Amino acid sequence: MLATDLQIASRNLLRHTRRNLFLGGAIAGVTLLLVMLNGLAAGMERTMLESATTLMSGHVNVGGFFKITTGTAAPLVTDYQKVAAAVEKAVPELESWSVRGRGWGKLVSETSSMDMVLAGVDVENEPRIKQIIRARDGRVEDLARPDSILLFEDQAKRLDVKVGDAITISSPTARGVNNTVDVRVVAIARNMGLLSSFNAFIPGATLRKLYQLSPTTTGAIHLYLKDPRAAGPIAARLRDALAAQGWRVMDADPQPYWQKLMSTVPASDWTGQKIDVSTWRDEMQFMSWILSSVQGLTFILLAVLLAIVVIGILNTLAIAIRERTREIGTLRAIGMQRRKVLWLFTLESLLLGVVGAGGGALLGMGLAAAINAAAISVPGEVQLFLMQQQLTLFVEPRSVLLAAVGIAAVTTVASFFPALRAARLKPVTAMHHLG
Amino acid sequence: MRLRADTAIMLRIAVRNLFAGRAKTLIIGGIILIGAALVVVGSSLVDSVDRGMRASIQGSLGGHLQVYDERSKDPLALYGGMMGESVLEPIEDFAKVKSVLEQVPNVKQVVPMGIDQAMVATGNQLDVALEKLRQDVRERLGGDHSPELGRRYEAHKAHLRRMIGILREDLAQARVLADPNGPDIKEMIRNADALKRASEGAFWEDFDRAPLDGLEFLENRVAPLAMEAGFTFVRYVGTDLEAFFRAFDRTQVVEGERVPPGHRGILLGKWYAEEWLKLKPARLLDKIKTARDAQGRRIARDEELSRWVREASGQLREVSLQLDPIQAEEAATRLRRALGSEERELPKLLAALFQVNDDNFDRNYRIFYDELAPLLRLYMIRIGDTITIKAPAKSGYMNSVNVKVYGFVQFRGLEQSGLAGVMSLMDLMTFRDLYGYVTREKAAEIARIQQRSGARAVSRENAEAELFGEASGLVGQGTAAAIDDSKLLVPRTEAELQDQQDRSYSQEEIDSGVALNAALILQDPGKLRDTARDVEAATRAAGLHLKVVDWQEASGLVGRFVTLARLILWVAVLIIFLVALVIINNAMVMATLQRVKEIGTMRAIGAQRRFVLAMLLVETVAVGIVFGLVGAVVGVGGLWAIRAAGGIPATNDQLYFFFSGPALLPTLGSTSVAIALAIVIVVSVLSGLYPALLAMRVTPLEAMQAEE
Repeated sequence: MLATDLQIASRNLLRHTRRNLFLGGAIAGVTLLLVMLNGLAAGMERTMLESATTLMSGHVNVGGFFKITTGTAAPLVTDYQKVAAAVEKAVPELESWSVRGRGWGKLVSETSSMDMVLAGVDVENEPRIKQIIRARDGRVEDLARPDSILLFEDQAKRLDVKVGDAITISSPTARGVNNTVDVRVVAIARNMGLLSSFNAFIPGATLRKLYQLSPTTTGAIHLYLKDPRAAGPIAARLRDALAAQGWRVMDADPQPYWQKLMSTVPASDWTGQKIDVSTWRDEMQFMSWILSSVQGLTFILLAVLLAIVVIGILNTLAIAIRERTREIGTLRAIGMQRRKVLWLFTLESLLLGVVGAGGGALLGMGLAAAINAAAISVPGEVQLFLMQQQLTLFVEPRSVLLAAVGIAAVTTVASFFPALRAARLKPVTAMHHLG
Repeated sequence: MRLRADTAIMLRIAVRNLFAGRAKTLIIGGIILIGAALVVVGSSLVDSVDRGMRASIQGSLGGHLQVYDERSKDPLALYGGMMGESVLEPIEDFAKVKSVLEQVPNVKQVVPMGIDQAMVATGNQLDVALEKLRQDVRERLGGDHSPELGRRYEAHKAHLRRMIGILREDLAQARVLADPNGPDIKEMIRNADALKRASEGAFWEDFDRAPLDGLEFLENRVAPLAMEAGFTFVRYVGTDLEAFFRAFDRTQVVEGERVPPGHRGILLGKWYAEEWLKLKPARLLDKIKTARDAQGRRIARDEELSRWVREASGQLREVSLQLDPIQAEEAATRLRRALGSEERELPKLLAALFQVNDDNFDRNYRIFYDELAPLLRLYMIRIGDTITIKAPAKSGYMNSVNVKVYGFVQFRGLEQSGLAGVMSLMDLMTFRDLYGYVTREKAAEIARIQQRSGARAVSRENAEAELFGEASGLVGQGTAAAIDDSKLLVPRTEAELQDQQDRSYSQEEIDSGVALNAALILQDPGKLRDTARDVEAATRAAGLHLKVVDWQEASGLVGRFVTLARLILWVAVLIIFLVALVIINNAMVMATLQRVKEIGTMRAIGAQRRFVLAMLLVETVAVGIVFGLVGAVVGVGGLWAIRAAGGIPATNDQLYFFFSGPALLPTLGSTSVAIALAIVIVVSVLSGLYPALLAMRVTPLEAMQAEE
């Protein structure tokens, strides 16, 4: 039965190849656009997750601030071993954890200088970092050497240094004095998106030396989870667990740690240590507006386009029904039910929608793959907005399916009303209808 | 004659057809209407943002053109970039640049600039308390033994002692952080000893006997510890202040006064002072007030506002710490009266004052500013203070300067914008000291010293061999000695510093020296492109290595925003009209095919192919123009509605800057309607072309044979 209906519907579509091709093409175009824009947003989100979780955050972070006086703050966790032990107990979903020193300083080379976020790492106990950061020159493992530094390509270019060169790090401490330490470049790594332009790695011990900190302190404990999507609830649970064990824990505040360090924390009047649990999303919050604007623009653009396409479908069907009024009358006269007429017209539209959206989706996936393969580098200023250095679209099968189904559904629903009109025709008047 | 008759007939047929196929006309028209309205609204909005930004940038820092050294590593970014301040090669002799550029026609003014960030010490509460005590001691030694002075003296002493006690507790806990083997720990112990002494009873008993010795100890050993305890960052532009005020007439001094001509001094950004220097609970009250009054938000319904209330009432220690016992009593009395409370203790009264809700907010806000604020230091830095500013020089080491604060400054129309309001204005001489650029005189001096001491350049690679190798020889026997940083950092005497503060620099002194970039103000901004070319030619001819950029490029990231918005708008418009084209085309094709018979008949009675083609095109273009116009009118109506509703509000800092004010009042771009109509006509011609060509090919024969 369905096979016959499909046959009739496709015959009707094929009889007007030209108009349906145009309409199907428009539907395909809109689907393609949606797939590509979704791919762009997902690609941005993935680069964000990847570079964020390598460069400045775990899936969940247990950081904190130490305030010597009310007006100052340092991003520190004292006695971090104890905190880590408590975290291990509270989070069974934990895959691994590592410690990161958090710092900020001016890197001064022979010819140039630049401000940089400094990450103090313990490379021997953090296998993850070796897997994700790809060295162009030198070896990432050499970060185990005392007073070494890993820079990214752009930084090395700007500072005009090679592997083996020396750099001075100068950093203002909480006491308003500048401390300095000399380090040697051991590796220059490939760029990793926007964030790599202002992050550099030094051994944790060197960072402590720079700030003259006790070895029991660190900046934050980065937690890597089996399922990064669970970060939100786990962070909330961890916050409660740590508070229950007597740590002073800060309220959840979706801001990156350096924003808290610059404004909210020095402005509040407690002193001493407080623990701050955050997720990678919190740490990237300053970038998320870009993602939301891409999604917002996609939505607006798509709404307008779909409105236009729906108008087109309404028009086409209206004409089709007028053309086929006599045919409908005949069918009704020989006993076809109203519901069946409705179904046939809707099916026609459904078929067009599915073919169009499906084709568009496939085309979109192909185009996205081609763009990824072409490795188009993003111009400097746009990098800031896309957070990518190479245009990478991440096309998830699920979201493609959702896009195609969604658009096919809209076109089908749009056809419902003209189809209803066709179904309401009385056989007698319909058969008398002229052309 | 023939032609006109033809045209008249064609138009009549077209109009008749449009009315006959009403459904089709409405559909095509509807799509065109939406498109035209979108173009008008969209491009007007972007144009308005563009205008707003132009006003913001040109009026606050940018001027019309900017020049900077073309050998710089970074491009100029007046409002900062992603990687901090851009590193520019300094313009060594600004006077020369000025004299060259002022000769270029259409250049009205050349303003030297140097933009950077620096640290400002803010932990000076203790200094303030100390100053009060010093005043009392002076009066007592002068022979005043009134009981009133005695009471004040005791109160100030108690206040200071309490502050020292808190400082001691604070600094004691810093020891957990310190590396037990590091050099800092010894100093920490020394400082802890000093604080211990200053907070003990014995010290204060001695103080009464020998107050001058006590004061000296507090000033030299204790106050610096408090001073170090807090700093904040300031972003400034070092400039020729007189020239700056002339060039940027949006600049206003809101409190205090301008720096006297030729003097050293700084004007702090008003927004910066509010956001960073104001007492936090007061700042939070201000923010809640703005949110309630301007945005209609309510504490009870708004997550953020209730967090601010919590934050404000959690930060009252700072308030009570500022008040000495006499002031505290006064504050308590005033609050009891104003709040109608029986409560005796100040902290509880303060808590009651700051525990605001929607009902009592306006009252409590008034009480705070009328009763409590006059007793407080609302800003960490007051007008008239001399502040210490430190910045890392190019070498990575710190330079520090003392500079007097003359007032707060803001840019008219940009009062709420962080991007503009964060800027402080500093005189050029102080900037040069802070920037630490080696001027020719300084270089000569260093060379002389080197000659005298026999020093020679030692490269990093062979430093060890040179300094400690065989050839180096023993220079002298070293002995361990405590190095007093303060002596090294401030090689000048008090008197010299004072002299620097008071003296006035001539225009020549201000001009001859380093600047990082310079803003050019033009007589006729309309000739910006031509003048940029002239400036470039003039600098090349004079052998200056200068790069000339317009205000938009100079603004860095901020300026790219409009370009990006415009790009996104036109890409979206392109896509929308592309899809519209296909759909309209489709509708037209179907409409045409329905009229095959009619067209065949017309052909049979003598209509030429060209006539058919033209007739159908006229139809679509007529629909396009009519509905395009209606769409434009709808768009204009939309803009009017936005204006009537008070514009699009600037909900954050950045938007404030982009809109150049609290709301974007979009104005109809003169070109917007024209562009919209042009696009609509092109689209309707394109979409009508294919069906018209189809119709043209219809022969009378096949039309007659066409099935019913």
